[in-house]
Amino acid sequence: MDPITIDQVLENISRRLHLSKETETEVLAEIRTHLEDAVADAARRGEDEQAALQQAAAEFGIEEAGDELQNVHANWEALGPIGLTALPVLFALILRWLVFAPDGSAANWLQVLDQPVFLTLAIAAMIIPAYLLHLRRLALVGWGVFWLLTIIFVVFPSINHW
Amino acid sequence: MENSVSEPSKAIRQFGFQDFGIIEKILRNRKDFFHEIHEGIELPTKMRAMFISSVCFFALYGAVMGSSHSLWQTLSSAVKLPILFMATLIVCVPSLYFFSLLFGSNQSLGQSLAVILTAFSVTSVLLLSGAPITLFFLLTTSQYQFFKLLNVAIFAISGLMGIVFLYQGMKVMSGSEKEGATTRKWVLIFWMFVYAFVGSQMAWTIRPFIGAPGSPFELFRQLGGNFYGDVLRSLGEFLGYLIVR
Repeated sequence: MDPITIDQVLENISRRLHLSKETETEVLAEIRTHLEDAVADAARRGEDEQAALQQAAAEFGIEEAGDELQNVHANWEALGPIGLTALPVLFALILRWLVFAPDGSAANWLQVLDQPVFLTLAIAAMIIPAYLLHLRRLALVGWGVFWLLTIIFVVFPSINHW
Repeated sequence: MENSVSEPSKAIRQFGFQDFGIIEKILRNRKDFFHEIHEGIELPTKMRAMFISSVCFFALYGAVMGSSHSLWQTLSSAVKLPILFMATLIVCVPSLYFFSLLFGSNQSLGQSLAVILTAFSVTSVLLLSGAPITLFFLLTTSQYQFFKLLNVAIFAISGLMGIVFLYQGMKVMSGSEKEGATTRKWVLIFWMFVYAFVGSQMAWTIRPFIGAPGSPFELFRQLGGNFYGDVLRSLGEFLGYLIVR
């Protein structure tokens, strides 16, 4: 078997990935750590490092791992931007039609805060992205947008001005 | 090996959110995606994911359009926009399939459907990306004609990008089929115009999506006139308004 290097293994995996540079770098860094650990363990046991790397790469399954990582992370990567776009729009629509009066006029701050629908929405705006989707950064941004929208609706009390 | 980098939660799989991931694959890795359609790899899964994503995105954009008028218009447009695209798909797919078949294509109906759904997915995600812009103008402008034209522009750009994807997809799909390739290319170009005309007429038939200010909610408006005449009328009114002011 021809000798291989960690960089070659990573390059082979990288060829099968079509992710953003940021995610690809993170994924490859993690695989590198895994392979380096396998080689270091073999060295500690007095075994051949090259054989250990070959074995680790074979166990890892370059093609399968590349495809699997691609599938997992591609799906994952798409959700962030989609959620970041869709959730604030969705919240705005719900705020527009559920929390405020049908003619678009907003109640005063105390009345808004007293609405059960509003409070449910405020909690959902944080919980859905943070705990169900594990998008904590998105949850914070969405939370900010939610309050920004609320302020806009209150400051401009009528959007039904056509 | 355990992977801790941005690991998706079980909720994504449980609630079927992973279907939205298809968009990433289409946009970032389109060549492989079209090759997989050509080879018929996981075609039903792909089509289901594209269908679900498109319907959700169209519905959300429809709701934004309708929210300028009333709650009923919001709900109505959220339902009607996905119907508009899916009805256009049903009307236009057979012609693309049979004409391609006539000129030597070896694609199945499912593959033709999958390529068109790819175009719809691109159009829908671009519309979704335009939703915050539409919402912003909804909040900050009071001109009905401007809002209408803004939506026509967003639909035109998104639809055009979808068509470009469709063209690229068909090119990849028929890459190995040399016989009748030139004729099929012209059939596809002709079909794109047909698709645009059918789509715009379908939109006109099941309008309103925005709802005229001051008028009561209507599920469908009476037939009469046409889409292009109305766009020109809106443009004239909008420009005239600017001149007067």
